[in-house]
Amino acid sequence: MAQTFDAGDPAFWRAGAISTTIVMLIVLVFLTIDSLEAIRAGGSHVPAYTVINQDIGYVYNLQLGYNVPSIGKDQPLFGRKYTEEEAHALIAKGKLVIQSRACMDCHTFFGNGAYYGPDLTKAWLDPAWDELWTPMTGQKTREDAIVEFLMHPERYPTWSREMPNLGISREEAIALVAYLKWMSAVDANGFPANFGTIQTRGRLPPAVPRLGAEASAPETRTLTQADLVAVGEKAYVTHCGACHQANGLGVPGTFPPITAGQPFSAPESLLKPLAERGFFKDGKIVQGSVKQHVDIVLNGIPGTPMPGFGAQLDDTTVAAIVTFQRNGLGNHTGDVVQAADVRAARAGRTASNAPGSTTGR
Amino acid sequence: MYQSQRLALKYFTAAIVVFGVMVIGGLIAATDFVQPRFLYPELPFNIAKILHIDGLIVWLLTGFIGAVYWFLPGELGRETEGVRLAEIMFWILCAAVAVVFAVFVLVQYGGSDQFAMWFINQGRKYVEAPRWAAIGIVLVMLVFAYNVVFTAIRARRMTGILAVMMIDLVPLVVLYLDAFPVIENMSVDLYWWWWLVHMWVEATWEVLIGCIVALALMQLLNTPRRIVEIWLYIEVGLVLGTGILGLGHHYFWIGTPQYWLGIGGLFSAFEPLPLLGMVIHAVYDAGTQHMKTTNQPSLFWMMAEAFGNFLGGGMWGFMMTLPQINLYSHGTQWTVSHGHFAFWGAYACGVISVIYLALQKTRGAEVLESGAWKWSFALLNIGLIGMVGSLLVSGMAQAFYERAIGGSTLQAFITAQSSPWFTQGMVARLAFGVIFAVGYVWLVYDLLTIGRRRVPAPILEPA
Repeated sequence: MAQTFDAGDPAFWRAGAISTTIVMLIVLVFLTIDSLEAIRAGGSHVPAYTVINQDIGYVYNLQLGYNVPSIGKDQPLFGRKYTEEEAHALIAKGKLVIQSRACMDCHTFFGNGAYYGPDLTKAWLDPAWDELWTPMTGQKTREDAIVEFLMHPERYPTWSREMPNLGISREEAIALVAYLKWMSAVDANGFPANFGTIQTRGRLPPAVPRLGAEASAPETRTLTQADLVAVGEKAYVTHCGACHQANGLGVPGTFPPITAGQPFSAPESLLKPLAERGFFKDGKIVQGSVKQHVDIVLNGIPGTPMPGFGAQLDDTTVAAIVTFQRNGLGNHTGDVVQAADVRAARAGRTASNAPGSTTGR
Repeated sequence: MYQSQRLALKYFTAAIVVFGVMVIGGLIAATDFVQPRFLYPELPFNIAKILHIDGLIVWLLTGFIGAVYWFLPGELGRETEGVRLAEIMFWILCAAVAVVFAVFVLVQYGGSDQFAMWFINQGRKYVEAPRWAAIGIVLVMLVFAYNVVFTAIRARRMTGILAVMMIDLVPLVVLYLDAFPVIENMSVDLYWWWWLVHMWVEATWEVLIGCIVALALMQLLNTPRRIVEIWLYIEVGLVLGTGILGLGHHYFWIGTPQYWLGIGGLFSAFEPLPLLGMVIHAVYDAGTQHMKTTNQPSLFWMMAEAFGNFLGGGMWGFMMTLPQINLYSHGTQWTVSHGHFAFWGAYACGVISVIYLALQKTRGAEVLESGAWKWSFALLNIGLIGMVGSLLVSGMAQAFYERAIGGSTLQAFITAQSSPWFTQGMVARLAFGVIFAVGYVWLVYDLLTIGRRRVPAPILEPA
């Protein structure tokens, strides 16, 4: 028992507080020196800015047990290769755009920010750019699609929550794309986990064999309505639900309902092509012909946010979606659309070279 | 009454007004989650969110400065040095805050150039205020620090609490300087940004409020100085001993090396300890007085501070701080649940408690009592805990659907945000937010009226 110890003496606790704090601060200084070396551009965890000239992936690392960025072969951005100075200037510009538009007060970067919009850590790698945005914006590449979207977000409403038009110029949008591409190559210790796996799951139920984009041979069987509806429902939720909503009622003023008989009001630029194709009359959505229906899903409606899905969905999936839309979500037409019908529609269109292809924007 | 204390009342008034701006910003942002077309596109979500979180920082900081100006003359037995300068800084602060908020609402954002950084919006969460205003805040804090130090020098007196506070004023000013740079590398930017957000808000502020609570407890419950000081040292030792390296829980996923997963996880697991100490301290002190005091509102808010800090900061933080969980909970409404509970418990309740203490003396009420304070206390706390619970439900749904199952893509985000668990949580949050706002109105009414009418002297046993 130490004679001098007195737990009731504030000086004892003061000495404890001071020494603990000093020790912790010293440790923090050393860790900070090491961390700053690791996270400088070109350090062990953060790539050099010229990484925007390369193909970037996000692959599972067996030893670490989580996904790490993979830097692949050369991949030009906007059709060109940037020098070190150009890349640095582009990234610096991109950061200024991010700050000046207060992106972080809706979105998150590395999970930091606000939670009203999606996380942008790996946004460059998001499959939605290729699956939805490229056809929707009528652009040829992912980077061009992102630029078009950032400059005119109100033209491509993505969901009931929209991104406002922030007056982003083309130069600023290009800088943002470079920024997102660079950031996707940062090793963030596996965050976000399992990125992108939702896209490879549940597209088609295993109960129906030889369906889906993976099937190499064309579908020749005639499927039952029940099978098509079952497949179509899943595909509908994945590919159509974000806009037309899982219940088929759409979003007032922006995305038309799939359910016939539902009222719908929107700008004339959207109502006119709908009416021309036979899906809109007297303020309500009506059921148009199967032929037009298949055409819209395959080729979209130019001049509106509706993209064509012909390039990314196989015949069976398109047939299943159309069949489901005509026999589910409150519709009861009894129509059954087979893969062969879709194949014929594709062939017919190529032959007649009909106007309004997805690249016509 | 000292001039310094009159000035403190002005700071308190400003704090409560900005508290109102924060509530309005929060209500708009909460409505956006339920009805995205609300005030869109005139007032997009990010602007409402900026009003909400910057309003939060400003009203708490203003409240702290007011609390110190209130206690300082009593602690040193003399008028605060430079109180006139402090008064000028007060009006500059008010004008600056009003201009900044007006620019946020009316101009919202600028181009990608230095002009926007200087005069419109810096776009870094919590420190969006343009640079000219950030410089103003630095000046206000420098004058504040100068006054505290020089008052002690002139008084030729020093107490343990004041010594802790003065040392704490150094990081309070220095860390805020991080509100200025534009760093293009997001990993480096976030590395230093967390020194501002974690070290400033979670460590420096925590020490400052510890000092303020210590000063308040001596008045409120006549706790002996020696006891208060011992507890303050224990709390400071534990807050900084766990919190400095607890900073690591913000370095899990921003590109920093793996060792932060272990260090951050371990030290932040200990972070509830000082807050538990605060609960024990407050309950023990109140118990020795049998909860008897002439200022019930202040005592109740002080109890809410102790429990709120421990539950909201400590437990809610601990729940999501280990990296194995944080990988999925990070950046979801789960974080928001923790943020609301922690800021409320750690700081807001303490500031309100001190304001009641000041009002009792200002209005010369032997016993500070009213009907309204109970209503506002109940409504604000029920509203807040309701929001915290709703956000937790939404946040867990988001963690499962968006992070764990979906992998955080755009589609996963939409799937999670459309899930009924998520959307119902958002509706409930808005409802409890309205309850909270009603409680705020009651609070304002009560602060304006309490103690103005004479209440008959209480039947208290002689002290």
